[in-house]
Amino acid sequence: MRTGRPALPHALFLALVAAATTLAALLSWRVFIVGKGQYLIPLVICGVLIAVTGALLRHAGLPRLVVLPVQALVAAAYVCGHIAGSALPTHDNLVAIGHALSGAMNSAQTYQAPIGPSAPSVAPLLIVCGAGFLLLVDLLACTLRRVPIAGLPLLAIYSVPAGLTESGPGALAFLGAAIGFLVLLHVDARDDLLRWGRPLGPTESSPWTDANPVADAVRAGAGRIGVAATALALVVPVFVPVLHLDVFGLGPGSGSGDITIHHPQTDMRRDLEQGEDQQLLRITTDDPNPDYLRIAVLNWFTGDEWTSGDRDVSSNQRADGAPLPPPQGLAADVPRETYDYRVSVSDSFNSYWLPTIYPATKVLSSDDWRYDPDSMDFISADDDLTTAGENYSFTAIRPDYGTTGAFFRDSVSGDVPSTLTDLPDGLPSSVAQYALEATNGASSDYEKAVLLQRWFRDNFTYSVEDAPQGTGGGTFATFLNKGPDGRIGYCEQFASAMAVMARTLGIPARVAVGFYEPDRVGPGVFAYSTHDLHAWPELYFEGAGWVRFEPTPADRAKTVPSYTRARIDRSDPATDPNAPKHVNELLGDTPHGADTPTTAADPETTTARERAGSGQSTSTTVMLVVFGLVLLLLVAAGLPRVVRGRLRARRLAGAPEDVWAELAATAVDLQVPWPTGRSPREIAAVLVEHMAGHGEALNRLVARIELTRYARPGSAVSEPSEELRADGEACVTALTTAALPKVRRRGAWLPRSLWRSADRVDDRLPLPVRS
Amino acid sequence: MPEPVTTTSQLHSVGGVRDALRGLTLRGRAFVAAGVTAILCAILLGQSALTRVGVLVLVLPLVAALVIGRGRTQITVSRSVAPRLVTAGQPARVDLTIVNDGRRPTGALLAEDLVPYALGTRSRFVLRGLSRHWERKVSYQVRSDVRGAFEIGPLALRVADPFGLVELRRTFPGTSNLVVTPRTVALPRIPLGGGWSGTGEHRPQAFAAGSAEDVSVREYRRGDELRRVHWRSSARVGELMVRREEQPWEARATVLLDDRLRVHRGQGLASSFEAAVSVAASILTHLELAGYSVRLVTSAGSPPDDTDNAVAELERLALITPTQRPLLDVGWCGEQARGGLVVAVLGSTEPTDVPALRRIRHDASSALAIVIDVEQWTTRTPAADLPAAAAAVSLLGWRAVPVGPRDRLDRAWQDLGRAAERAAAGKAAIR
Repeated sequence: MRTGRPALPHALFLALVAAATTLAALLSWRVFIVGKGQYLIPLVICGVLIAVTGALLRHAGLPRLVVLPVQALVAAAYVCGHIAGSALPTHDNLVAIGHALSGAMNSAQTYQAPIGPSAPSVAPLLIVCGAGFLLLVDLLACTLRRVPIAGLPLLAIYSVPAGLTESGPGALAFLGAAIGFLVLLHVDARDDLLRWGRPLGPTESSPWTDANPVADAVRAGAGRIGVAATALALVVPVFVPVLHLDVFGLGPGSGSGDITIHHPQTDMRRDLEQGEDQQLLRITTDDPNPDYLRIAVLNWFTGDEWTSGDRDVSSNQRADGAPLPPPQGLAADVPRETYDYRVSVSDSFNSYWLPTIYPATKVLSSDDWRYDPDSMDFISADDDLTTAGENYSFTAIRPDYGTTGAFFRDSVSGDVPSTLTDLPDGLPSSVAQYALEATNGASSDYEKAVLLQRWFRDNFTYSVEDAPQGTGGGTFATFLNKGPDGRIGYCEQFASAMAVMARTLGIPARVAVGFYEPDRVGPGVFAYSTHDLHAWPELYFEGAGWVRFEPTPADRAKTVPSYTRARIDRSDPATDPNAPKHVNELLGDTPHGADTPTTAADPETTTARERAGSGQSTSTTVMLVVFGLVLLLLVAAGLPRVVRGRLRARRLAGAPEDVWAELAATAVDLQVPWPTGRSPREIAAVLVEHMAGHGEALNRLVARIELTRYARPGSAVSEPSEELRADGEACVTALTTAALPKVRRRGAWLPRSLWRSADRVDDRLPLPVRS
Repeated sequence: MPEPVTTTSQLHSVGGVRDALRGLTLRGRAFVAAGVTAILCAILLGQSALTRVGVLVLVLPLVAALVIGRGRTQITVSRSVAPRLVTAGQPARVDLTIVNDGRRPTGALLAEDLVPYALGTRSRFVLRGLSRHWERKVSYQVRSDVRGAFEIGPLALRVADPFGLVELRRTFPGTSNLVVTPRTVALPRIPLGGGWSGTGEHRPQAFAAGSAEDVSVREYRRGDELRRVHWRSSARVGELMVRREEQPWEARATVLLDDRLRVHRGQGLASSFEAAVSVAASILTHLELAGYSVRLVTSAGSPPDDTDNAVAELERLALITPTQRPLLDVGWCGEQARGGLVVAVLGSTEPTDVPALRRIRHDASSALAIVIDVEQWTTRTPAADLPAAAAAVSLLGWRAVPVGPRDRLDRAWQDLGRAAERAAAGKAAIR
């Protein structure tokens, strides 16, 4: 019989098993990091420290309120010592830990697991979280002795990689954690038994039996049960079909929902709203910062929507690795860099358009992809051919336009086909008016374009949910006007609006659809996912060719191309005609290649923005689901009470037997003994001891019951009546009042009578012995 | 002492998978619920890793139930209580023999003998490491401070799995009885008077002290029939001697306990009635040790199967409860009891009791009374002088002493002895 302080070996054993179990579960985190020793070894030491400290303190009989803080202090000192090099929480150390943690957070948010040595290590994050879990499990399993509840943090540890990575936690971690948890459960149950009564081994007074828990456990069958259950847990899931419903949109990127792009202009919104961020294609490249990956170009504005228009794809325009025609309008003196890209597309990305970076100089694919020389996008020549599972490579150049706009000259008519400058009839007049207002004071097409982009980014709000449907017609006016629904939209609307407005200003424009920023998943490997889908306008300038602009506000597209950052002096364009026109001082102190969007400088914020952007689409759903679950829980919690109340009202209004049954049920609810097989009078004698008064009501009730049961058949004694109801109510109230508050609450919210009848209660009630 | 009574009951098979499933504990049920939830979530969310956890948590209680249910045991329990009759405050030992003839059970067997609260805490045993043909004897002590007959048992047996997920309950029907007699006080020897002889020697002689021929005559007393005169002895002794036809050497004593509710005060263990029972038991034991053949008489008279067995009388005292009778029944003091010693344990006396008490005094050779001063059980203040009841009894020719809740019985008994001496001295003086 153990009470109070545990014996030291026992306490130590329990604490070490708890720590080992947690560590086994933490083993599943090895998928996050290359080189698992980085976090596991410190955590093992930390676990031993926590276990030993806890065991000693508990053995010393210290209260729980002391044990936990001391353990936390020891763990914190160790973690501090490991990360910062010194266990003392000095300011410098704390700053160092803060740095290490924020670096780890950045890595975790930026890179795909496993995170290699090239990025800041995530080990500090894993160590801190792991130490927290070690403390929590020790608290629950050893200090509070609630072993089953300790299963929850273990589950949490285990489900983190299940939720975040494709591979999920390994079987090894599961096996270790399962065995450890079973040992903890058994030790807990065994302690309960030993506390319950005097233990008797197989032979009298054999110290061996009491001191050897292993032999004891084996004899008790713990091994058989545990092994059978664990083996089943390893085997059965293989046969359990797992749906990929993604009810909450929370799954990892391993789902199989297909992304189909047949008509780029109509599919994007759906793909963006789909919620789940799914990896669609990976590129391997020598480009340090690959960005906008173009899928298709929309040339033709019908007034209602942008379409890809016609494509001229003859059989000699195949993507077979032959040099492509030089990019249209790009002057030869623009400095440029050339990069190679290898792309592999996931099976779930079905597009009739082949994603490439513009301007490409060479595209090599084994399938029949053909390009249009004007738009330079690649379309499938075969109806059955999509990008799903496609592997191809291409070479693309990145022109360096500088930041002064030196290469941008106004286009002259005839440079581009008229479809790229045409505007449909019936375009609202406000469109042209807004375009003029926005570019007021600009002296060149380049300045107009820059000002237009700025106008969008400064005055509009990005939101996929609140965006009006469509891109043309009336929506267009709504989108541009100020108002409750105005000036809110998503990338496609920004792109199409800017393109249309550019055309009203005489600048050839088209809309490109593709991917924005990829996520870096490894050295030289980047992944584009569903949430990276994007649309942007391309404007044509003499000497610069088709140039990308970014009107979508910073909520979505954080940065703009560096060549659009020129400061436009719009105060008095006429005063200094000789000064360099679009001049301009360098904005931005970006250390990057001039034409590189400055996104890579700050991956954390970029990804955070992206998350915020994509999060908005799912947050409402999640909120709704959470709200619904809470509502469901509340209803479930209140249901027994309501059902019981209905039953009570019905029974009390019924015949004497019903009232009697209600009294029995109330007794069951309140855990008042209700002897079975006795006469009503005897039952009443027992019951009256548990009632607060109202003995006379009970006696009347008993009399009615006796009349009902024993009167001659046919006599009208079993009718419901008002007095009967009042007596029944009085008895029920008296019983309830006399109960302890805790019992009363339980009886009200979780009435036992709903699932247990009075006959089964307290069969073991000892007969009163007359003395 | 009577032989310990052994109760044996057999239980076929603790086990059965269906029973085991029904016997899932709260923890077991919670595990099943958690497992089902986890599996459903895993299926809906497409997390096969979570399925593993769900299956483990779901399967664990089920496997435990299966294993526990398969391990059918065949258990026989026998219980003996020794001694079967104890004085309050004295321990008795309960021996349990638990035999398993069935399969090797899995898990631990928890045995709990259901003992009335008055006998102390429940006796609980955890039997581990059972095997086939396993037999264990366990014993524990019970002790009660209140008199009464107690039922020990039935034995509740639980089979628990090693993870605390399943628990099977069975109750063995057999019970054993333990009679706890009232607490007694050792009393000093005092001259009691009465008995059969009128000489100064009051101690009854044991029957075995001489031969029956030697002692089967006694001196003639008034009222003896002439045909019973033993002429030869009369000639030898010089006085008229008569043959004894009753059992002459068996000194008879009667203890009268007034068990009417109306003459007692207080309730339950703190009542004057309990004190009276304890006094009666002490006197009964004392007289038995002194060689008397004692019988217990209550307000209802003596029971029909009067055995004159002190143990049986103590057992009656263990179970006695106050009655509602209005009057003392004196039917027992007939011819048979004439000349015996009567010790009465009385409560308050009422005028209606006077004839009965007078009749008893008349028939008894010596009448002693311990008068329980019942008013002290309600007022808490001792009466200054001899209480009215004791005085009234004394007036009827009884030798009486009062006893209050704080008085010692042995002192009172001694006082009674002194009163007897005084009475004897007075008698001698008159003679």
